[in-house]
Amino acid sequence: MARRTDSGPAPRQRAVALVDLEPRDGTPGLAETLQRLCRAVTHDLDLAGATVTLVPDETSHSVLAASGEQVRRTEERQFDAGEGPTHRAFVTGEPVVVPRLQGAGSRWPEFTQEAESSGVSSVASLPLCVGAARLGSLSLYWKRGSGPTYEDLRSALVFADLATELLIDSSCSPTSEDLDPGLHSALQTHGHIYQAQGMLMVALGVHLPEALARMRAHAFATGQDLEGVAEQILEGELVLTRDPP
Amino acid sequence: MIPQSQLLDFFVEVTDTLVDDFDLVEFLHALAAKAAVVSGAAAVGLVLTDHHDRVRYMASSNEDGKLLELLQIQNDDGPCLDAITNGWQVVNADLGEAGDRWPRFAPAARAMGFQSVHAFPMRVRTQTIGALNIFGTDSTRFHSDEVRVVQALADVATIAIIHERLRHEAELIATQLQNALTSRIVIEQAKGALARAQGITTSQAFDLIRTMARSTGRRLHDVAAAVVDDLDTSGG
Repeated sequence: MARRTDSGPAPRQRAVALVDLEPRDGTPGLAETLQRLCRAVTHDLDLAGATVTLVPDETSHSVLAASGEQVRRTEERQFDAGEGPTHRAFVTGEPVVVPRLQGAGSRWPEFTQEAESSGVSSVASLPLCVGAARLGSLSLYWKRGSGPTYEDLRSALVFADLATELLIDSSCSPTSEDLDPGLHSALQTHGHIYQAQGMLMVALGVHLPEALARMRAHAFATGQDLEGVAEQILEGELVLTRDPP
Repeated sequence: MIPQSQLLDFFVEVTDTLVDDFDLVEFLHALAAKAAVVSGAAAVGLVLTDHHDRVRYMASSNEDGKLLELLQIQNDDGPCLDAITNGWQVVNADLGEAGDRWPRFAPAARAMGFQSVHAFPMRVRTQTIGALNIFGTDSTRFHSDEVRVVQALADVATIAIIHERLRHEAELIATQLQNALTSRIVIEQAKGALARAQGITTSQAFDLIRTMARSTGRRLHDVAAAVVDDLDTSGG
């Protein structure tokens, strides 16, 4: 894009490359890819750690991936205690950024104590969502003496978009584990894509994330771009079926 | 441009709506419409930049304003993009003489009947987060005091997005921008879902959502999210 003033790769390409650079470890699958993503963002922003946590249902929550065990425990602590930035982000649906945990003690006493005792001084929880489709959160923990900058948060949001893509695609095909290079700007900006997503949700009686996953799968299978698929759905020229392709 | 004597009322009216829990999407649309009235322009559009450095349409005074913004975004060419890239104002540009400057945008905008264009960056400290565009169907020129008034409008839009609680936390602008853009996506999803469920067009669906928001005093974003939730019949 012409907006960029440096000559580096586009933010998404750069993030994908960083995830790919992380050594593979464990059974290939969604959780393993997300774990590499957590480690990549941790290295890139020099964090204490990062986690991907799924939106809880009535009975449970799940920290799906973490860069390390300590940060996984800190993240899980939020759900035992019923407080903390990720917990808050799930309630409000909005990003929560706490540049200085010190002083947040009164808001989240148990979480703050746990985080500070593990050397964390700043924390952010970024919703993994496409509009109204909410899937989870990317939580970032900064080491003592550091904290988020504007550029850090922009980079973190790019990693959050990658995690969102992975979660969406896995909702349609459970074997999907890699970032799809063919759909280079998968989370598009075109309004028509999201209108088509809403239409498809109603037409097929599926969840909103699945509607987008179907569109992405169709685009990939037919070699079209997502925008073209969306236009055809809006024009009534394309009717996707309930069963995955 | 409206008389100076009415400007004070105008700004008081605009900032009065910036209370807690105001509706950002509705606010930016209303601001674009008011900017058109104040400047006497035929169309006004507003775009933001996201964390992928992509320019994204956010609001406009009318359908022409939206089309002119999308034209610039799709062609990667135009005054709004210049204002964002360089952080400076584009004032009194004559589209008839701008064929070299914007080889794709200028002829397309002229074909739509537009003659003049102005672009005002939305800045926070050293960051440019978006731009406000003014499009005219005649060659009316802005004087320097008028330029200041329109820049002030762009600044009000910026303040609305970053909001007061972020006054001391400049780094959080990134996430506030993300939030504003998510609101737009939720509304698009609700438009599509409602259009399909009711057998109406997406623009009729938007009018319905807007009416629901106004009659219940809720934010467009909240009404749209509720619409999507209601129409999600996948069960489970």
